[in-house]
Amino acid sequence: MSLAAGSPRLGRRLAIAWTALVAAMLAAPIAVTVGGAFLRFDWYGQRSEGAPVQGVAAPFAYVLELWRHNLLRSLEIVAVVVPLALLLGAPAAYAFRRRPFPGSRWVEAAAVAPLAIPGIALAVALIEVAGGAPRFALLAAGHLVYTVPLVVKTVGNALAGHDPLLEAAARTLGAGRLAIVRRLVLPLLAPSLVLSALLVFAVSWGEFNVSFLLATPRVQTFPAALYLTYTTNSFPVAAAATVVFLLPVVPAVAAIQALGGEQLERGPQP
Amino acid sequence: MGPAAHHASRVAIAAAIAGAALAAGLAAAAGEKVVIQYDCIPNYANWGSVTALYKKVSGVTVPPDPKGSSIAMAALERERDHPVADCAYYSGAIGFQAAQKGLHQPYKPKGWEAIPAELKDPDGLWWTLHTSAIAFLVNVKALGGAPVPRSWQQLLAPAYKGKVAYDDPTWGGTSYTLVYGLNQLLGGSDTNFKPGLAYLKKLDANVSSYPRESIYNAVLRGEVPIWINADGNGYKMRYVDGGPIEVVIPAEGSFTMPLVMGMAKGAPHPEETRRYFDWLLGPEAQAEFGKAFFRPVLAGALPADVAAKLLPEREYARARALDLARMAAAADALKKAWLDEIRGAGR
Amino acid sequence: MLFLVALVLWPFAHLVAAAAKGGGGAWRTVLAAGRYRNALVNSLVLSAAAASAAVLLSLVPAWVLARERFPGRRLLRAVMALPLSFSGVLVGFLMVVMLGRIGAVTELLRWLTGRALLSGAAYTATGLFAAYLYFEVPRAVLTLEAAFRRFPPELDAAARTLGAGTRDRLLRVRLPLLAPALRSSLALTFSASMGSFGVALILARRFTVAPVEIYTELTGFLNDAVAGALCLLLALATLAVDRLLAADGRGRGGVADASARARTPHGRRAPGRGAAR
Repeated sequence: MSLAAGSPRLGRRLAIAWTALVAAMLAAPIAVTVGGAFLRFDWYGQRSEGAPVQGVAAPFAYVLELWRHNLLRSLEIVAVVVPLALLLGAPAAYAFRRRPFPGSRWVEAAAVAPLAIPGIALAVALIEVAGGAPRFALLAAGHLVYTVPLVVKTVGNALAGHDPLLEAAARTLGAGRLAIVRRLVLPLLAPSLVLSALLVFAVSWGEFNVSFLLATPRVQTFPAALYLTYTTNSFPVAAAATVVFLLPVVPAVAAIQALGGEQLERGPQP
Repeated sequence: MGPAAHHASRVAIAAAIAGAALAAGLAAAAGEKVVIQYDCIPNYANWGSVTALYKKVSGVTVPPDPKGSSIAMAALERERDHPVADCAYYSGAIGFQAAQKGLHQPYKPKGWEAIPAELKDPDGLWWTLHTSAIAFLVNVKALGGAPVPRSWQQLLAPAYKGKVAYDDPTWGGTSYTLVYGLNQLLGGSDTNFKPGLAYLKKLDANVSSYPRESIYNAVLRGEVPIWINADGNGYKMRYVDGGPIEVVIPAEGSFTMPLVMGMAKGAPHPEETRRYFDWLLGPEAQAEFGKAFFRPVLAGALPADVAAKLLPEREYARARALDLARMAAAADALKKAWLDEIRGAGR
Repeated sequence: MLFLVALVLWPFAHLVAAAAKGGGGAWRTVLAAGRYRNALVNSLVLSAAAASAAVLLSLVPAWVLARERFPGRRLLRAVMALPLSFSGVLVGFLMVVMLGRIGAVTELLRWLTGRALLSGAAYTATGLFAAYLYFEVPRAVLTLEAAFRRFPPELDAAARTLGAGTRDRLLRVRLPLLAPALRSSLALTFSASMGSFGVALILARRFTVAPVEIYTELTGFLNDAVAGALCLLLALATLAVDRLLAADGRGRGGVADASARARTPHGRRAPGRGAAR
């Protein structure tokens, strides 16, 4: 069934062409940037980094050397935030769905509300209230605010799709709570848990708003490095940094798509 | 559940790699000595190569930091109870203001006596590293046929529409010096900002952006044809990076600007910072700053070949020094006035 | 659970406290005419315009991806989804690459026409608008696609057999069924651009939008009261629009609902995840 009122085939072709055009316009800037990381576009003129960047690999080596700490920091954050988000979000989602209490719908809705808070406001709140805590902890807390809701929603939706009678049946058959969780619930939830992990990774990796304001010269994430690169380095180096940023996240997004993840329509706050 | 298991194992592998990287990173970080300097922009005044040199000489890392003078001061203030930075680099007026706010601790580096009295705080709360002058840094190839502007008045011409940029003065001290100085030049005072702001409002028609970071590379590659900033940056673009840049001191006059260092109160690495300061005032570092065409405070540290490339002295006769105390006093009011008049105006 | 609630309420509480510091003066400053109000107005207008444009632009692609089968469909979908993982600064950078003073598009136009068209457009309101579109279209497409996929063709066919004309079908069958999805995607895209900071940091160079003012007040002037007031207004405006768009009694159509598209309109799980995407 197609949208066109006139000749269906022509309408269909036009619709597909329009879609392809929109996709092309989304892809073009990326293509130019990634191309710029590997080729030398002369129209970007002179450049100065304070370090020689000739040759194809040199911008990448420079980026890795200059922003090494940022990259590490981002990896560390992700390694901490992904498991924590799952640990916090999944049981909460289970409780909301399987053991609703009066007002649980409100709490669940409230659990999504953080996504409306501007990241910079959250960063300042964190500094004001817990300024003495290690910056890394504050960063992790900020990331969790934006990722735990995603886990709650994804796991919640998965739970909604599975009949609670299965668990009730298992209980009548004598299985203990722990056994039910381990052998029934977790395997059923495994796809949504993996999907959640990928989502949390994608959002945390690209998170800038909170991370930028919580950054110190020693504890900065890679998106903060991207900002610095874009504004102070030459185009080939900035493009190389972009490629480094995209490398882990493109497969993650592809995996999310393959797993049918509609939740990604949210993404990190741009 | 094939694909899910496959993806799950992919995630697990990624986590394992991350874990290994984490361990390596922590190990590396634990052994590293650092001094945290707010406002350490690699392309500005050669901080990139100065800090690289210091690392070679002492093994201490001074990581880059993009904060402008005003942002650095605000960060120090916000972190008063939990200091993160060891020191900060500022344009003179802002450094003066920061010291007034009690954000610094005193330290007189080795060679203190060599600094002229008006370029340092008597108690050692701040001291000048090098000086510069405000100038037009013009990428002549990107002008598109328009003549090189030679005066403030000429800069208002429609030929330069969309071609001018100067840093946001609420971010960087160089631009604050520019805004304050212009106001003084055009007949304003510490309480009357109208003349300066009226000019800047007219100039706004020609401005393409008010960046909050160093646009050194953007000017070099022609993205921004005219940058009103420190002359040293322009010379470096021309003689070190080979860009088609011309440095112009406007005909009506310009302003010199000391660039100062201050040690933060409650600095996390005080011993390292003091050693760093001693080195910065030493001949090695001063010569390195000289290579960036910023005039070192240490007399005689400017290499001869660098001095030869600067504009002749008679051009610099037009550049006047500004009173730091008065600049610091007017800072908040003038910055707010600029924001209201220029940047915050409806669009 | 309680931790989650705390995590949600505490930043809001802090914002309220910060704005109240200095006893209400902050509110007066912010709401009075001047750069704060201009910033808020700019944000609202640009976000609303971009959200509407994004949803309009995304209708056809969402439909095509949901219901048509053709070679390359998966690739198109993947390309559409890619910008979702981008940091705001990356989107800002991409706009500069394309529409800066010597951006790719600008240079192409200069080569074609010999004139400097669109030069520096990235730093104007148009450039910011384009950047908003760039990260909003993928969000709108995916939200709408999920809804369109569940659009029951039988209803439409039934209406046709009963003699309803095209316009009738459009207005009285499709639109009401799709309305919640349209409203969700509007709310989602609107809130994305209202809160967008990284993009504004790179592109909003000559004018101001709310996130930039908040940032200036926080980092340049340490004016927490004004910044807090601005943040609250920003958040409230976003939430208000979200709730407005969701107001259909069942609370459907807001941002929260946009992410719940895995549930069919009838409340049951759609069969076969991973099948035939």
